[in-house]
Amino acid sequence: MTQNQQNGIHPDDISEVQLLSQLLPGMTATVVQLQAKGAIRQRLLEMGFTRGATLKVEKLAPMGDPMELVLKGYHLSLRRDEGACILVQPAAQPLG
Amino acid sequence: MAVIIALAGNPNSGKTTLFNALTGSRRHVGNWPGVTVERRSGALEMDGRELEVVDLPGTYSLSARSEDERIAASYLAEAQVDLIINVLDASNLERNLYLTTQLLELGKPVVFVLNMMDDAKRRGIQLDIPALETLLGGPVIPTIGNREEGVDLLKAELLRVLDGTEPKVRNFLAETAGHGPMDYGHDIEGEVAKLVTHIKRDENLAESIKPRWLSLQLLEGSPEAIKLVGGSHARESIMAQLETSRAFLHGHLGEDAATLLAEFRYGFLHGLIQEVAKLPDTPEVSHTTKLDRLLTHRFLGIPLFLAVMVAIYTLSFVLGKYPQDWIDRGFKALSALLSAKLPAGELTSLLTDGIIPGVSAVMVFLPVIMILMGCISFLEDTGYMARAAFIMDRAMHLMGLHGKSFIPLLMGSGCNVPAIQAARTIESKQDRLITILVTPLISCSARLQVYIVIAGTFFKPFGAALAVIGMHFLGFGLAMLMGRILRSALFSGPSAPFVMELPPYRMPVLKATIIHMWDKAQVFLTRAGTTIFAGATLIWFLSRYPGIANAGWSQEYQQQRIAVLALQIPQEQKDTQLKDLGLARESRIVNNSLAAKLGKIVEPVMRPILDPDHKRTEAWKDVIALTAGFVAKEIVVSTMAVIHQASEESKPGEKLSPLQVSLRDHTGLTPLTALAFMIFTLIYTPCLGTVAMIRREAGSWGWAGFSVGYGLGLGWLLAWGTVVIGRMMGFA
Repeated sequence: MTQNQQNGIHPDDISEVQLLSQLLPGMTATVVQLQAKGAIRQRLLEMGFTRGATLKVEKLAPMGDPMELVLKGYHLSLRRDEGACILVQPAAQPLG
Repeated sequence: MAVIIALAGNPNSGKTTLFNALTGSRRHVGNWPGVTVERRSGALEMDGRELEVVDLPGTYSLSARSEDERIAASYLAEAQVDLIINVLDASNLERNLYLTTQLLELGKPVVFVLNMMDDAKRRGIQLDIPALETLLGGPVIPTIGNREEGVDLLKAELLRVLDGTEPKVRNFLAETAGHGPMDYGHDIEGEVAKLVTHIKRDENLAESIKPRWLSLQLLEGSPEAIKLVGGSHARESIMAQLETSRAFLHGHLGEDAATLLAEFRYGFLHGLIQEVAKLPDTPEVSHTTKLDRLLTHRFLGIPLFLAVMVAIYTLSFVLGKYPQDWIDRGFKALSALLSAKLPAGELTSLLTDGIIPGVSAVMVFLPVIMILMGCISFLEDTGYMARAAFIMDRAMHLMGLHGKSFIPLLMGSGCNVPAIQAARTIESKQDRLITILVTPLISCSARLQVYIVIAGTFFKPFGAALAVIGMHFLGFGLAMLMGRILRSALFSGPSAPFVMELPPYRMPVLKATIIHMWDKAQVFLTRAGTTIFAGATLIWFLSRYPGIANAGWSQEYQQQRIAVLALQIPQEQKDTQLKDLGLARESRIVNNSLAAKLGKIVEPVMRPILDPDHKRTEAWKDVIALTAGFVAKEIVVSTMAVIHQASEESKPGEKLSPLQVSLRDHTGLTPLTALAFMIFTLIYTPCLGTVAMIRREAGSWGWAGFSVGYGLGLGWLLAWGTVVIGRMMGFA
């Protein structure tokens, strides 16, 4: 079933769970949990931030906020305080 | 009744381009009733059938909470929608199909349009269209929207579906024992079934909306769905069941229902994509990524953005100034011609001083509105607008605004009217409203004309320049401050999420840009134009009556004219004398008008600012000028010229114009009160065009009234503060 999409992660790769906002550009991670509530949660879910989804931090805006992510093959921008409501599991090695 | 076809799809899926291609010129743009979300609809005639195509706001899902998306969702669920065209971006299929999973649950025939096929091909994505048709249960038409490829195929398909002769259309709801195209698993489906039973107890409710759809919406926590149930006699049993179901699902599956549904949908789509799409093994670096390396670069991003802004500003306000001047001069010439040809009197004055300037006040905005909206539409279609918001969001967020607020604020320094219209690009209603309300604080080019005259009169050249620049900084600073204050005063909740797609760069279609410009112009003329015109006529009435109807004064004036004409002096002197006579007459009318009476009544309120020592006998004249300035701020200057009976044009060789000399020597204004006057002019109220635009864009007279009210209050306070502090520091 879909909840078991975490098979993308190899046991060796498992590292500390972090906040999405803590990731550095170039890092890849898997969504673990959404801590947002209400409208923001709904929006994040429909944009594809479901458990197990992989994402990559593409870059930060020139003033350091918001951040640009790649998720499900498309690019989106997210303020860092919104990124702070998303728990992610960084992949052990950032994919190029 | 015409068949209604609704166009649904994600933002940036090319919906509007397809809408333009389907409906051609038979389109209508307005607002959805009661809200400021644009409603575009158009007629399409095929085989002698009348079809109405409605373009809905772009939406990522039907459970979203923003105003635009709620409109799309509730309209799609309405019974009158006969068919849905779901526009999908083929190059970003997985996320685009999320909306589709919900559309299919509405139980209406859906035709799928796979747009941007060229993009998908370029990215090496191969799609199995027959497989997609089987899985989605509807015909899939590949198109390339900006070349209008596939539109004829789509039209033929629409007819087949409407006739019921398209075998690809499947009705999942009938086929799979009430399930949608996808099964949410034993636990969820069980709870949905229970909810459906409770909903079906209210026949009217079950009739108005598909019970399964309503159950899913309730589980997702949609406020609309809860409101709908609130009106039902079965509401208690439905809500009780909803509580139980939610608790059960959370206990059993470990997450809330909304999350579970979203995960099931994406899970289903993940499988679907594996079946129908072949992605390239090594995705090549797209041209978008390459462009973004430059355009959102850490150091180059901001300078490049500013360069784009300078280009748009120049196009709109520097180039746009030419057609604006032509329009202005054309109307002035017409007015002069008419007043020369027609007998002097009330009707002539209504025409030459009331109606013609009123129409002119509307028309002068058209060139800048069209150019600026054209530029913004172009930027938006390229995908750069999202980058602009990405770059500026940090700074704007500090002001309580959104990244996309920057463009209205910057363009406001040219003219507030199109700037407020430009705020349409901000999706979140709160952010848009705050941007609309602070934009009038940005000093526009009309106010500059007032500063130049006043500052030039009362300050030395260097001080004058400093004062004029200071006004612009003050306006911007106030916009920042008010942005924060309004944000915390009006909307205590968290600001709308900034989860914004950065769509791939695309070449815009010129036709779409032109259509957009035309739509904006049309909307401005019909909606804002009438208000501006009515307001201009009212101000004319206030400032001309009762003097204009005084037969004795008219006679006197005619006699004086005849006397001058009979004089044996060179033509040049005669002209000057006639001009002075005309000005004297106008001055007499205005100084004895209703506006003057009003000025005398209001004058005590303005005394602490304009006349702190209570020594000026004619401070009420400033009030008339400010009242007239409500039509347009530059009118403050021309009205002062009339009430002080002094021309605003300098004679050759003289630094100050007669008006400026008169202001300095006869009015009793001091440098300090003049500065207060400038500050008040900056803030006191948005001009009529801006008020009309706020009313249109914020959706109510309430907000328009609020912007006038807080402007007056804030303007008074700051001007007063300037006088008080100035005097404490020893200035006069």
